[in-house]
Amino acid sequence: MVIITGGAGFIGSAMLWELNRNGEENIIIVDDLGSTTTGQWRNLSGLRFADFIAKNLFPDLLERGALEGISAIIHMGANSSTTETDADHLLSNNFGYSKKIAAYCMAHDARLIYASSAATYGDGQNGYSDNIDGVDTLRPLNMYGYSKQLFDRWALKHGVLDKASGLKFFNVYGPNEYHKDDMTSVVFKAFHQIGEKGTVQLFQSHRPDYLDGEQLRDFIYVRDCTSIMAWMLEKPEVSGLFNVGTGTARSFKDLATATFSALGRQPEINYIPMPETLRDKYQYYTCAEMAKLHSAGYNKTFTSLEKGVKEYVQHYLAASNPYLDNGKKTSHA
Amino acid sequence: MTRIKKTPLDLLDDIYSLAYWMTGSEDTSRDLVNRTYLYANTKTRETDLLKTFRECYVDQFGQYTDFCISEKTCHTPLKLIESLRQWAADIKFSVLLSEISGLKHRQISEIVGKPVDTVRLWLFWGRKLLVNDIQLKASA
Repeated sequence: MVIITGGAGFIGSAMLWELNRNGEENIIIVDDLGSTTTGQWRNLSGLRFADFIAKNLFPDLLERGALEGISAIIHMGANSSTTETDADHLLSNNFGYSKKIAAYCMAHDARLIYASSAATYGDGQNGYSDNIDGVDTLRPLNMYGYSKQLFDRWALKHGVLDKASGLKFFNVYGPNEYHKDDMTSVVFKAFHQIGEKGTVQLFQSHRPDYLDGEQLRDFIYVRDCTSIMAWMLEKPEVSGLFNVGTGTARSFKDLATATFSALGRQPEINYIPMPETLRDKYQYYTCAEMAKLHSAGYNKTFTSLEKGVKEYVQHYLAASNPYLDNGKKTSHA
Repeated sequence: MTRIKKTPLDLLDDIYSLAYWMTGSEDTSRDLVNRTYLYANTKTRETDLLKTFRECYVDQFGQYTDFCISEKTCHTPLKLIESLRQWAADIKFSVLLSEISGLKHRQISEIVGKPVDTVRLWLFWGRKLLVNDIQLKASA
């Protein structure tokens, strides 16, 4: 049995879909669906799983040994808002909760794959290497990144990373991110802006070495993330911290252009001034170093930005059912 | 025997047949074929086109397909039956690729992304199970 915490979230539900594609349905989802108005429950509606457990009940069930036969825990559950101001909540939710899950996995020899974050790299002044020796030198810019780094450091110190895999996700986009409000990807935002106004707004550059819209990010399609996680499930010997990006930085302008192209339209991009409060924290370049994952044996090609955006827009955002769904029935049923 | 290289256009009927065998629905088959050809061009290899078809299928249906895999009909251990059930769609697809499209084991292995030995095991049991499945339907 596999457990996915945050299984109704963006990457968690995409991972459930990936496991369903491989015929795996003996999966327990752990999450907190919140208000029905977010529509987060829809992430699960076309997917198959054995049971759903509320997030707050799960640690106690683990400690009491009420769940038997757990072969792996994919721990994606976290408060992923980089603008969250309640530091204690982030500590308890992202750090404390993760420690309990890790302790269970180590005691019961269960595979642990957990979500760290590229936010741990801060402004990138120490680079974007997932080399484990550099964990202590990173300086996240927000509390979310710090809560993730705290767990990475704890996991390293207690030997958890000798068996578990921590994934530093870069800029992930793709279906099932719709409940994330402000934290949705630029593709999602651009798709709706194009629908409403025919144009896309991007931030101006406030640095002379970058043109407007040429700020660079490592954008990765969610299917590439789940492909990596599925591979890691089959390779328990692969452990440590890993970047999850493509290794290629692309601009926001490229992303917006790809969205226009997927809709069969010519790009119309307006550049707006960046809010003063963001200017000193804003990153102009992030790019994952991917050598470690490749040397561990992962050799699939990453989806190009153009192909990923095209699929996301045409097969999901513009479709009547925008959710990942492999629970459709054939007419044989 | 020399195998003539087929273009994506030559393969249209084959892929529609595969889709119909897998889904049993004309509408769904059309949709699957459309999705498969969305990224194809005249130079797309047969193996890549079939790989895309498989991706499109499991994206929408997972490993679900109409395929009766039961221990009563093939007298195999329960553990093997459970494993075969988990990969029902890929097993049926492998048998169809072998029997309808005449592909070699190595090509099927590349398309479904599994080792050749696994494909051979799947073909062995898949053929038996598919014969039983068809007989069950014929007698229904």
